[in-house]
Amino acid sequence: MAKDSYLNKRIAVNTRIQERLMHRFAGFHWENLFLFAAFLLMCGIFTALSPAFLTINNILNVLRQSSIVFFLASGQTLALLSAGIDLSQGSIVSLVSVITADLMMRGYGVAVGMLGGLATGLLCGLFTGLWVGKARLNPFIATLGMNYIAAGIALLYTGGDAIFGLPKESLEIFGWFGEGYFCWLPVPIILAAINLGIMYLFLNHTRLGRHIFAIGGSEEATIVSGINASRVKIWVYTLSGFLSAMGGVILSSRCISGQPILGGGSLLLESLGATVIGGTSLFGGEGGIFRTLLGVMIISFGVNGLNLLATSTYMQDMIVGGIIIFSVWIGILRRKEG
Amino acid sequence: MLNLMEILRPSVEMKGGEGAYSLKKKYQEIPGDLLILFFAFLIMCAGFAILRPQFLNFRNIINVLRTTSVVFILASGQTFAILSAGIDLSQGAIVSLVSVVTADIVIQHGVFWGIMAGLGAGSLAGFIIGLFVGKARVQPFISTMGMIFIASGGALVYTGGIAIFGLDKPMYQSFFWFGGGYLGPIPVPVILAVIDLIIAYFLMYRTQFGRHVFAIGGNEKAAIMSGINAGRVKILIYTLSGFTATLGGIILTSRILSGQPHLGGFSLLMESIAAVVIGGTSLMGGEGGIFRTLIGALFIGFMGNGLNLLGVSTFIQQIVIGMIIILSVWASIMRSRRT
Repeated sequence: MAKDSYLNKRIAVNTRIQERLMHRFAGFHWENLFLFAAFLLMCGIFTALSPAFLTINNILNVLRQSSIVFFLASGQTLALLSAGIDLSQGSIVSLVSVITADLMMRGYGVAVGMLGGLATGLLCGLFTGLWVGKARLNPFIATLGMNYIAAGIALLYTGGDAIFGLPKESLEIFGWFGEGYFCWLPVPIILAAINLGIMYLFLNHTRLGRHIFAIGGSEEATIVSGINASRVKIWVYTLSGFLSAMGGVILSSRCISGQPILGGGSLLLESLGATVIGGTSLFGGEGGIFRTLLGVMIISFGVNGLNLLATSTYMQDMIVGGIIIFSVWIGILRRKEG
Repeated sequence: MLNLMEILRPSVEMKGGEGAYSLKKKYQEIPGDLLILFFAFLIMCAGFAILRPQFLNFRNIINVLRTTSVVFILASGQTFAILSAGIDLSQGAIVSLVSVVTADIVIQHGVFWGIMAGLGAGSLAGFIIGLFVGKARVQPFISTMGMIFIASGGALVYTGGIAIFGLDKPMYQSFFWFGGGYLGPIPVPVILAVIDLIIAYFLMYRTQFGRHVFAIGGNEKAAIMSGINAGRVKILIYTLSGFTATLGGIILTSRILSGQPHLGGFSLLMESIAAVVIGGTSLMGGEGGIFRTLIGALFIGFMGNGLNLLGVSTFIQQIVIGMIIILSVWASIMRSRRT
């Protein structure tokens, strides 16, 4: 009898594992594999055409550059998953850069400078979050407004000038975050990897993470089932602001100065583009951090490969635009078939 | 959907001797937030006029109207896109593309063909977006974001990244007329903006196309069920939006007399969207109109001018614009919640 119950238990456990595996595979999106295959194919072509592509040096360089976009894009992923959007990331990067550099110039040291920068990003995000969550403002509007406000404050803070000549004692430690190595790995890559792990655990194994998916899926149903949607949204934009600030600190560290228009260029568009290429839906509820990782990789290795093939940067812009439209279109076509 | 022209037009009831009653009713029908916005605009202008008398100079007003007209022309196309629950992020990039194409062809083949080529390039870019949005059903945000990269990259590829100069020769005098010329005392861009306003008004409220735009923005599924060819309407919307961006691009190119691949950056696009949003057109689609956009564009234009006259730094102006975008939309949300 004892043996029987033991066997039954084993069978029950086995079926549970089986069910879980089935569930995993049922939740698996073929689009993901398709996109990954496209990425591998692209890398294969570049390797064949340019011997410099598949060298450790090149790969580490590309990864180091792309880690900044990955920080922004992971914040953007949170916003898109909750059926929102964060247009303020670029100017938050500018503001963070200026504040971090200025705090160091005033002699408060690296730690205070970086924490000050991160806190600034967090507060900007909290500000938009309150407008979106509490005042129920459309995220597009709230973050568009914040984009103007943060960009204006960054310019006002320095009077439009860049902050150069950081004190020597902070320069070495601060530069380490953007340009340094830990063992033989560049520090930004390690930070991005830690971010990837935390984001994965956060989105898939915490209550707040699952609530973000739920709100993106159907906000009304979420509210009816007792989830405090406005609190979740405040979290989403605060985190997105914080992650933008991480990107801003690393980028400032790479150019060891405070630039009031650091994030004014294509940084926001790259963050949005990477998230969307990865297949996270603008309607919310669908997507994930690994998709965003793949999106970032496709853009950055694509651009790097084209650079090695000596394609003009202007041409690259056009290609990236085409990839954005076509990747989403393919996703739509596949969904129609299925 | 109510608008100023309909308010001004005498209604049937007024003929029946109930004019006062009817007029009162009509006034009650004007959306409250539009009235508030209009009064806020008047109060702002009065404030600037008291602090800086030159604000009300004829020349100052004409100058502001001239700069505002470009933003308004872009925003009029944007209004259609937003009314249909879409958005056009590519307008700035289209302005850049049109600028280099127009400047190059004007120099090579003359003014007429230059403008035709510019109009063709911009409308074609809009049409391509329309095909992706209407036929392939790619979300407007994505399609137009892709077009930002494509059109601005295209503009840079076209010139190799440098600006095109040489439009200042006397033989191109007629080209300068579009951006810098006058018709009587009124600058040509302002006249073009007024024509644009009339055409947009006509399209929006007096044609089937306009009603379909509102219907799609209000409830796309219901619109398709009731037999509206949503795909075709969307192709028209984005072609129209591309066309207005083109018009703005030609006016700007004519004013600076050179083809600049960076002419329409992020800020031009943001002003176009901000004008629509401050006017109170909903990003969810189906609610709003062209007169709201007009007030939004005037608000941004005169506020920038007034703050300039007061010597406020442009950096602070950016912060003010950001606050106004957030607060204006918040105000309309508060009003709609109360009723």
